[in-house]
Amino acid sequence: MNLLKYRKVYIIVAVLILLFNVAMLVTKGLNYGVDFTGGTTIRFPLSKPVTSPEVVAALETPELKELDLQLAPPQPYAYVDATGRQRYGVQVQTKFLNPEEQDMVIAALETAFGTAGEETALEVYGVDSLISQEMLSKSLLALLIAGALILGYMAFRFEFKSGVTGLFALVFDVMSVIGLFALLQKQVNVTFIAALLTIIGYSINNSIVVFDRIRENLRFRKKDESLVEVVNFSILQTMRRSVNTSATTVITIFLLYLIGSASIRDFCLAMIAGFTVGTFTSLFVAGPLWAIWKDSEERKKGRPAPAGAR
Amino acid sequence: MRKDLRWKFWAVIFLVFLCVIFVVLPYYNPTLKRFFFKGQDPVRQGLDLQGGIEVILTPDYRVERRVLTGIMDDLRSAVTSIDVPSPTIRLLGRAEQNRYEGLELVFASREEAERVLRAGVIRPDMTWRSGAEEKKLQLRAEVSMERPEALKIYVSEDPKNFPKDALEQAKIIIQNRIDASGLTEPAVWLDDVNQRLQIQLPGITTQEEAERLIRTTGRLNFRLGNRIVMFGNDLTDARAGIDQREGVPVIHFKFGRVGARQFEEITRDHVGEILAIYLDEELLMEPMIREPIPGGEGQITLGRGATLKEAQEYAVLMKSGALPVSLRTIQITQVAPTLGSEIVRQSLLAAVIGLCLVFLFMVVFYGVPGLLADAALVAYGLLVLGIMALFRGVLTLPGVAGFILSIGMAVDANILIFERIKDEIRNGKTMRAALVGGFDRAFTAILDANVTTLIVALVLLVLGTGTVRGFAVTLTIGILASMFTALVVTRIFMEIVVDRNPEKTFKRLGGGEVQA
Repeated sequence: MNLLKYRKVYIIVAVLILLFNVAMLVTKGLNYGVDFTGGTTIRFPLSKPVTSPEVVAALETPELKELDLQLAPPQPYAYVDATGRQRYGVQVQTKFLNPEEQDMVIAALETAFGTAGEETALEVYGVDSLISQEMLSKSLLALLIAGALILGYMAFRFEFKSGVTGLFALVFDVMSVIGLFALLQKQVNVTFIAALLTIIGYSINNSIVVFDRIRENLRFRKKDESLVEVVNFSILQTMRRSVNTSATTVITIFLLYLIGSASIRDFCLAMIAGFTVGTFTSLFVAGPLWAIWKDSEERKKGRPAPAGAR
Repeated sequence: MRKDLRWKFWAVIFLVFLCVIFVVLPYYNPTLKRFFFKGQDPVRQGLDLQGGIEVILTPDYRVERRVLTGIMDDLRSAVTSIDVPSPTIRLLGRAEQNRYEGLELVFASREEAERVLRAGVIRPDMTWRSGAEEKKLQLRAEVSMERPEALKIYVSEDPKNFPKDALEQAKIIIQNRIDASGLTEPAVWLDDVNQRLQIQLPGITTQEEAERLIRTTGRLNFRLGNRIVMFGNDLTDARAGIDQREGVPVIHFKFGRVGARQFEEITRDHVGEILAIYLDEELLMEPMIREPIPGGEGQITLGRGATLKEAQEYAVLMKSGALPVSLRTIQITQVAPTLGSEIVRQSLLAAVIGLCLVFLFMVVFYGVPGLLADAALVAYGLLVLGIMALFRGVLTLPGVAGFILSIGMAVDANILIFERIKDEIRNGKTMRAALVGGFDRAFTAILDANVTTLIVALVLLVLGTGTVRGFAVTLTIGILASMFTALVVTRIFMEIVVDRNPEKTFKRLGGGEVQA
């Protein structure tokens, strides 16, 4: 099977997809959740304990749905007050609300759970983001450093070009998921970051397995074999492993997607998208791009290489 | 059986056995739980999975006893200036970290109290000075409800005494401190309008544990005699160590530029005196200044009999005391998991089903070797949990993501190895030779893939905070364990099988089949 016949097409398509995703990110932007933007916190006192899904259900009235509250998972709490009485409540975090909107939310909660005693006060206040700018820029810096180190390691173990193409595949995978979330305007929060990090790890793993095969097969390359042939052969060899591995992982996460609730679902969606894309990139982007680059270099030098040259 | 295989096999069994005792049994046996983990769960779960304790802190603008006693005379003279006999003055409110609400002035009669109030001699603002310290105070006087002949004077510090972003700074310091204490992913929100910090601590179940954090929300200060000469804001580092020459525990400390200059002046002018170190009103240490300390770097030698552990505790207290403003707790509550306990249960179920599917997949595709790989995966899971428990890590959803990735990589490593063995068999090698060849050839791919991922994990571990860190912790542990299980445990298992029966062929790996 000649997988690499259309290698240039793959790369062009990949670049187009990447550009599309960047365009999505730039034009539509991401729908940042309260973890990023900060928002209004309502501490609503209750007479008895409730569960988080009950509160979500209570807030799913038609008017509130229209508001798009960007509700974070509600957090029930309990404490013993100064007089020794057990008290309950729930903390609801939404985007910044104006007073009328606040009243609507509180009214919905009161309809569902009733008003608690007077001595336990309802509290409404604004909070800033959980993920501070400092934290975000620090994490970005960490990723840049990690990228540089990966490039260094791959240049050392493989060669510089493998590092660059591996990083391209990585950027492609991550941007695909970001683009998807921008397109669907799905809420982006702390768990999304976790999903992205996982995809990064998986993407690197994939590229390395392919490059490892190429590295090995090049060692036994025959005189009349072209570079593209070797890469083609290597990718076919790793195909089974790539499909098997991603299938096992995607199945697990898909189950979680089916069972889990809204907040888990977005996390699973990101992972499934990332893993699926990652499988394709390992087959159609990382190897082919490397082959094109390396091949053109070999042609420029002219094969067979003159004595003394590498 | 080959001798080396036998002891390797038993070593693996022993390791797994240890993990079971350490991680699994404590869930069922309270005695073991108390013994290993002081009664907590072996692997603590984070805010999103299990909830925790929430503490709400606010700047403590109440003033210390020494300040209140310092302004007593001023108040007395203000009162006597309008010819009212000097009142009895006492502290108002309950002492909390040696701070009080204010003062109570008890007069001879109700008329006197009202006259003082009307005359307005108790001014709403005041400045108190002592040594290098200067505090602007805000005073509010009112007639006591319970005792009409008394005036309650509420005294608080003017928020202007503190930097504007004091609370923001406090947030960062507290976050770093909790991160450093090994509790991953605390959630800290700042409410600027009400001047409050809302902190949720994961994996903590008791109030005492939360209070240990509160104890260290004070402000570090240095005193000569009874005067504060310097605050610890500019302390950049404090760490414990052992003095090379004397062999006693010491605390190395370091100030920033401004603090260094201040500290140099103080130590130069007061050689031989005691420079007491306080956290708010609590005395930590009373070291003597032996010589002037230039450059802002020095060390405190603890007395004989002190342990390194004590030094470490002091160092942590000093560093954490570098808050720009003292904080007080206004509420402690128990909070439910942010993800909702229902979701957590469902997800757990999904994870179990998913894992079973993966196990099944391995058996269907690879037969007996697949089963052996599954056994190795079980060992892997126990190993990861064991290490998590050992380091008292806290598991959160991002942590679970890291775990999933590392399970994926562990399965992947096994698949890589089996596919390689298949290739070897296809090339006509015997089972035993194919086994060795397969493992050797898969090794480079597994090594490179894991090392690169490990690089990412370590960078995130060092530089990341919160979510990112939680992910990095489990990923790092997971990768190390996955490399060990795939390359060592699976191999031992398979070699044992082949060793027992050299003619053994694994059908699913293509052994014994005629290749087309």
